[in-house]
This record gives sequence, C-alpha cells and structure tokens, in this order.
Amino acid sequence: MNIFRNISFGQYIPGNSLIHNFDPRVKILGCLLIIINLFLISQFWGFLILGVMVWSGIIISKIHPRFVFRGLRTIIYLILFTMLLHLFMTEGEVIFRIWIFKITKEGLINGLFIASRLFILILTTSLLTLTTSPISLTDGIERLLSYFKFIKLPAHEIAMMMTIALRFIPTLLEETEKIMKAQISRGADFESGNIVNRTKNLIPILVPLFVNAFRRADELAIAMEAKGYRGGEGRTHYRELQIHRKDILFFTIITALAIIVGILF
Amino acid sequence: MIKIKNLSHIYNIPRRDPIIALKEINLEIERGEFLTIIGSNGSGKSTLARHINGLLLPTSGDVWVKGMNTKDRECLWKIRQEVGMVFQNPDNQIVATTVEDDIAFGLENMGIDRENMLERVNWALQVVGLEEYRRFEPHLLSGGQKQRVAIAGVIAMHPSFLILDEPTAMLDPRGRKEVIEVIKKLNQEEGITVIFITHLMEEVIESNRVVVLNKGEIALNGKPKDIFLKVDALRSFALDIPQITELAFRLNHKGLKNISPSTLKVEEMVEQLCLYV
Amino acid sequence: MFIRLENVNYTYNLNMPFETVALNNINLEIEKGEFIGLIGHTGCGKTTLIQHLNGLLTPTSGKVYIEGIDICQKGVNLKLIRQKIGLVFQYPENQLFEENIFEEIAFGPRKLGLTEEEIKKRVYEVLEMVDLDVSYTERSPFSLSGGEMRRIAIASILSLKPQMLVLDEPTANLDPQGRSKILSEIKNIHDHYGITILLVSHNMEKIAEMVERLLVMNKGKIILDGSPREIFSRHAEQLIDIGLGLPQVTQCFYELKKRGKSIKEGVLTVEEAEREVLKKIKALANNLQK
Ligand SMILES: Nc1ncnc2c1ncn2[C@@H]1O[C@H](COP(=O)(O)OP(=O)(O)OP(=O)(O)O)[C@@H](O)[C@H]1O
Ligand SMILES: Nc1ncnc2c1ncn2[C@@H]1O[C@H](COP(=O)(O)OP(=O)(O)OP(=O)(O)O)[C@@H](O)[C@H]1O
Ligand SMILES: [Mg+2]
Ligand SMILES: [Mg+2]
Repeated sequence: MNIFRNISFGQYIPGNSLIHNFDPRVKILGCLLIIINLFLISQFWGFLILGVMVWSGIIISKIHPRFVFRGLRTIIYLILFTMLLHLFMTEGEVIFRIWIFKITKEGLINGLFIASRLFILILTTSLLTLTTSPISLTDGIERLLSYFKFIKLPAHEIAMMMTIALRFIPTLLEETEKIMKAQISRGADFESGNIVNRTKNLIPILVPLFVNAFRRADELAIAMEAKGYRGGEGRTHYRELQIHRKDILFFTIITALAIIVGILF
Repeated sequence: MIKIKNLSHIYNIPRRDPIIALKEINLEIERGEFLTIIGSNGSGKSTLARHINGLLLPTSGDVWVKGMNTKDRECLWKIRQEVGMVFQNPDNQIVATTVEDDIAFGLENMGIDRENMLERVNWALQVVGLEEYRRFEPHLLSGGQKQRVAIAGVIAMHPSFLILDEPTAMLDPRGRKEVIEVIKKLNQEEGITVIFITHLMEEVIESNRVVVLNKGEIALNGKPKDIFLKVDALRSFALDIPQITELAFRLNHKGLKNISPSTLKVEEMVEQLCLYV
Repeated sequence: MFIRLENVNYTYNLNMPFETVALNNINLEIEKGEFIGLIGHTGCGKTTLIQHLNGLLTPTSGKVYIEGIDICQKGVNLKLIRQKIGLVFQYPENQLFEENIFEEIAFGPRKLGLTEEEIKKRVYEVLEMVDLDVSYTERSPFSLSGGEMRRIAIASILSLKPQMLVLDEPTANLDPQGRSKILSEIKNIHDHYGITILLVSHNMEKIAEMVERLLVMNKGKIILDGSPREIFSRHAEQLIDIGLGLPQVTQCFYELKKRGKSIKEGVLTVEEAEREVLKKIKALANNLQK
C-alpha cells in the first residue's frame, strides 16, 4: 500500500513528447476510435495494423515499455483465461485433440482474436493514462461532455467529482493503512479466521474510514463554499485547452486510418 | 472594516439541548489589523469566524463587512471574495490535484479571465514561497506546505480580510513557523487585515490585538502585553502563558521590578536579565 | 534488557525509483520502567521507528529484540508482542468505531479471549487510569470532546495491559488544558502503574519537564541520547543547528551564558529558572557587601 504514496493515480508519467502534448480531447477521442475499431474488425491484418499504430505511439511517447507492461501484468491472466475459454469451447473443424479437450480451427482463431483485442485495448488505454495527467484527463472529459449540454448532461459536476476523487484517493489509501495499523495495535487480527470472521473484522476499519470520510467531505464542502464555489455556472478555466494544427493533423490521421481499417477488415 | 453587533449563535440539534455557541458578541476590526482570537476548545472561535464570511448566519444580531450585511443574499458572493478563509486541516481544504490548479480554484469560481488568473497564481505562489512546487500533487507536500497552498489559494482572490481558523494546530513547530512568517508578511507587506485563530499563546505575540473568547463570550480584548498580565484569568479560561512570560511574571512578583511582567520574547528577557546577573 | 534495536535500517519502497531511507542504522536499548521522550523534525523517522517496536514494520536490515526475542523471526507470536508494547498512533480518536465506550475499551481484551467478568474489571480499571468515571461507559465515543476521545483511545490500548506504552504526539491539536491533562495522566500511568513510556512530541517545554531520558532524531538517525539536562546543556548548539531549538527558559539561560554571564546551563523548568536567578542575585549582593 505504501506505493500509492508516491505514484499518482492513473500511472501518469510526465514527459514532453509529441503524444504528451496532444490535446486531451483529441487523445480521448482517438482512443475511443481505436477501441470501437477493435470490436468491429474481424481479420488478423486489422489487429496487426492497429497494434503497430498503438505501439508506435508508445515509442513516440518515449515511455519505457516496462511501465506499459506493468499495467498489463494484472490483466494478463484474464486475457489468457478468456483465450483458453474460447480455444476449447468453440465448436468447429477439429485440428487437435488432447484427452477430452479438442481444439478447433475456429476456436484457435477466436481465442487469438479475443486475446489481441484485449491486449491492444489495454495498450491503448495505458498509452492514454501514461501520457495524460489525471487533471488534463478530467479537463478533456469535461469539455467533451459539455458538447452534450443540450441533453442536460451535468458535465461540470461529473468532472468535479472526478477531480475530487483523484485528489482524495491517495489520502484515503494512506488513511486506510493508518487505521489498519492502529487496530492491529489494539489487538485486531486481519489475517486469520474464516470468511465470516474476516468480514466482521473489517468493521473496525470501515467504520472509522467512513466517519472520517464524511467529516472530510463536510469540511471540504465548507472550504469550497468559502472560496465562492457555486457550481459550474460562470466559472472560467485555469487550464486552457487549445486545438493546435498538430492536434487536427493527428486526429485526421487516426480517423482516416480507423475508417480504412474498419472498412477493409 | 468589519463590524459585529450583538451577535448570538445557537446550534439547534434535534432531540438535544440547543448549544449557545456565541452570546452577544460586539467587535470591530479595522483595516490593516492583525487580530488574534484565542480560546479553549469549544469556546466559539470557529463559529465566530464562520459568521464573518457568511458561512453561518446570526441567530440574532448583525455582521457587516465593508458595510455589507452578511444576511443580505445579494452580497454573499462579494463578501466571500472580500473575506478569505483558511481552515485547520490542511488535507480537507485542497480541492484540485496539483498545487497551481488548487490556487486557481477560487479564481475560476470568480470567473476571472485566464491571463489575469495566471498572473495572480504566480503572485500567490511567490508570496507563500512555493514557486518550485507549482506542479506538485498535494499529498506529496508537508503539512506546513499544504497550509501555505491553502493560504495562496485564498489570497489569489485578493481579499481585504484573511481569517485563519487554527491553521497551525495540526503542524509541527517548523510548519508553524513557516505559516506564521507568511501571515506576518501578508499583513505587513500586502496590507491584508488578518484575523488569526489559535489556542497557542506563543503565536499571539505577533498581533496588534488579542480577543479572548470564553464560553461564547468575549472575555478579554486588548494588546498582547496587557492580556498576558492577566495570568489567572487566562488560566481560568483553560489557556496558558508562554514559559518566558511566566518567568517574567514570577520574577517581577519577587521584586525584580525592572523585569516587565509582560515580557513576551526570549530576547527581551535576556536583555532585562542582563541588568541583574 | 527489555528492548534492543541493533543496526536497524528501514527504507520505504525499497528498490523503487522513489525509495526513502527513513531509518539509518538505529541502535537503541530501553529498560523496563523508563520514561523516554523522542523528539525530531517532521519526517525524521519517529513514526517509522516506533512501528518497529511492535512489529508493524520489519527492518530492511538489522534486528529488533523484545525481552531477548528477535521479533523479526518467522513464527514469533506478534500478537503477544503487540499486547506487551501498546502503540497509540497520532490522532487516535480517528480509530474509534464502537457503539459505546465500554465496547470500545473492551475491544482488545475480547480479542485476548478474556471472560466477561475480567473484561469488565479491566474496562473500569483503565477508565480510572485515564481519569474518566464509570458513567462514561454507556456513551457513544463520538459524543465526546476531542480531549476525552483521545483519552478513550489511550484507554483502549491500556486495556491490553501493556508493559510499555508508546504514544505518537498524544497532545497534538488540543487546547492547553487538554494537553496538560493528557500529559499528567501519562505521567501518572508511568509513576503509579510502572509502565514504561516512550513519548513522541514536538513540545520541547513539556518534554523537558517530564521525561528522564531524551532521544533526539535527525534524518533517520538517533543523534543524541541522554538526560534532558545533559542534552539541553551540553548539546544546545547542536539542537539549535538542526533547527529544533530549546525550551524557552533553557534558551534564555543559554543566551545569557553566551553573553559571558556565569549562570547554570540546561535549566529545564520555570521554577528552576526562577530559583537560579534569585540565587544568582543573592550571591551578587553578598559579594557587593563584602
Ligand atoms: N455544527 C455544529 N452543530 C452543533 N454544535 C456545534 C456545531 N459546531 C460547533 N458546535 C458547538 O458549538 C460550540 C462552539 O464550537 P466552535 O467550533 O465554535 O468552538 P472552537 O472555539 O472553534 O473550538 P475548537 O478549538 O475545538 O475548534 C461547541 O460547544 C461545539 O460543540
Ligand atoms: N508509508 C510511507 N511510504 C513512503 N514513505 C514514507 C511512508 N511513511 C513515511 N515515509 C517517509 O519516511 C520518512 C520518515 O517518516 P516518519 O513518518 O517516520 O516521520 P516522523 O518523524 O514521524 O514525522 P512527523 O513528525 O511528521 O510525524 C519521511 O521522509 C516520510 O516521507
Ligand atoms: Mg474551531
Ligand atoms: Mg510521525
């Protein structure tokens, strides 16, 4: 749990590459396009092209692949599991038999597709979160959502909630650690016992955590009010988002590629 | 100018006796003052502070800030901009995920344009001495630094008054010193009227005037030097006096008349003792 | 020997880009019955150090012995250690969670598997130790004042009957009266019940008055270890250098000495200072008469 003290949520790695400097809106939309594409295409070449695209993005961003794979590590078992599931469970032309399992051609293809899909999906979102600070991410989302104001989407409120969540996640993690240690010192035991006991053991952590969180929320609300906060109306923005020529260029390229890949494969 | 007249505040809690937190408070605060409010836990300091920028409204009585009554809803946002407020827990008043964004938060609420905002953020960062930390995330800062961020976020709004509600209570001595230095500077160099709340007597020394609250009433009101003479009264309000003042007080009583019983600083004491030993 | 730390090092986030060395070669011995103060700047490692005493943290390298047992070994009953060494964290009132104060204090004893009878006895016993009366047991811990909540939190550790009580800044954020109350209770717990105390504090004045032995930490090291008098007289300069400073009266006498006055160094309390000044004046007057 100690790690959380020092890394920001969302694994942002500061940098000054082309990818880092693109407008967050463009990056978010680009990501969405690639992800939609991933679920439309049904040919191997499509995956290859998308994969190469995302990987070049990672190279351009100058982020060490280690960080990319760190994000993958937690999810790799899920990918393997779904792949195996598809591998064995798809009916079709049998190409291989072990004991009661049979592997079909369709299964093989399906499994590989699913794996590549998830793999590229994770790469894409990692690229986004690694190169975009949480704050510009929320900014980007707020601006994008604000285009939907006409359907009364509370864009500012959603963004403010995200900001506050991001701001307090490290604080709450630290606090959880502290409370746990304190209760252990008071004689609590979180390691042994059956499920029921273990769940009951969470009460000494959860109650103080909630009590403190509510107090925090209360104080934060007062502090915000004291600084004249009254919702999104009439608010200006410290962070200025500007679409530059390079953003337009980047967006056009991504869109074009996405359309071509989508149509061809 | 702030004027408080016959201010009372009662907290009504369901199924319990109402709490009279403030009783008939009368107080005027002039431009440029450095006013310290002291009092024990529960004496009503925070309640009083929250009336000055309209976070609480009087049960009876009135509060005017530059002639605007806090009961007047039209003026509320103007008052909040005139009266900045810093709270006790540094963690629970920082909203944004980086230092500079947090300082800009109040300005965004005011609807200031970006150019102006940048200028003000830079100025505030420089006043509190945190220029190098502008891109830091708040949870990586020390308590004293966080509290200075909170101060910067408030002064960026260019308030005429700054209320600080026990900003040093959760800090260590070094963090305390940092914060007090900044407050002193704001008062002396930027001409901001400061209303500083604490229960640490050592921190009273820098102010022009002290108000002592006890059980919701103003018990004492005067210059620090005069207040510290009332040792017994202070003790009865659950307050304390600095060690050095206590020593001066005792020696004076033992007949060392050249030692002023209202000595507040160690250096003063050394000077005076040199006459004797 | 009750507690012994041997070459203890601790690094947070070891082998990561943002690792922090929090303890640097700590050697420390504590005897039963001592009353020890621990001071140092924020971030110097005080909280990290005390977490080693009951096995919440294990040293990156080095050994921690409690009553001769190396507690970092596999198979050591840490629960027993934690019962012996009671640790009270900063702002302990943030850990209260039970419906009433009786249950709050009984939490630890319940976990020890005591009978209801024994639990009751202990709860009443520790309530007395923190100077609260029996009428409190029915109340909700959240209905108390800050100072009372803190005393309940301390009581909930005392109910484990620890041989040693470690307190991390127990007076933070209380008004002067609340502060004195807690400190005098801690003193009482030491003097009357013979419990070893380690007190982490930023309050120089109070710590100088209270403790028998003072530890000064700086940047992960224990740089001074001795009686307050010795430390404040012989190492005043060093304390000022690292920015910790001295208690006000001690500093006053230190400055007098620096100005060439022959006066006692390492004065710790107002009473002592008063006595010293009067004595000095008397001596000077006597000299004049001669
Ligand atoms: N929101 C509230 N609801 C009910 N009672 C309250 C509330 N806030 C404060 N009180 C009560 O009003 C009285 C004055 O409280 P206040 O917070 O103003 O004191 P304070 O001097 O700021 O104390 P501290 O030093 O603990 O901050 C106390 O008795 C307190 O219990
Ligand atoms: N959970 C953690 N993860 C990473 N680093 C930590 C953690 N806890 C403490 N540190 C770092 O270790 C060092 C020592 O911290 P520690 O909390 O022991 O100091 P302290 O003396 O108790 O300070 P304070 O007076 O502020 O309580 C500091 O540099 C701190 O930033
Ligand atoms: Mg208050
Ligand atoms: Mg600490």
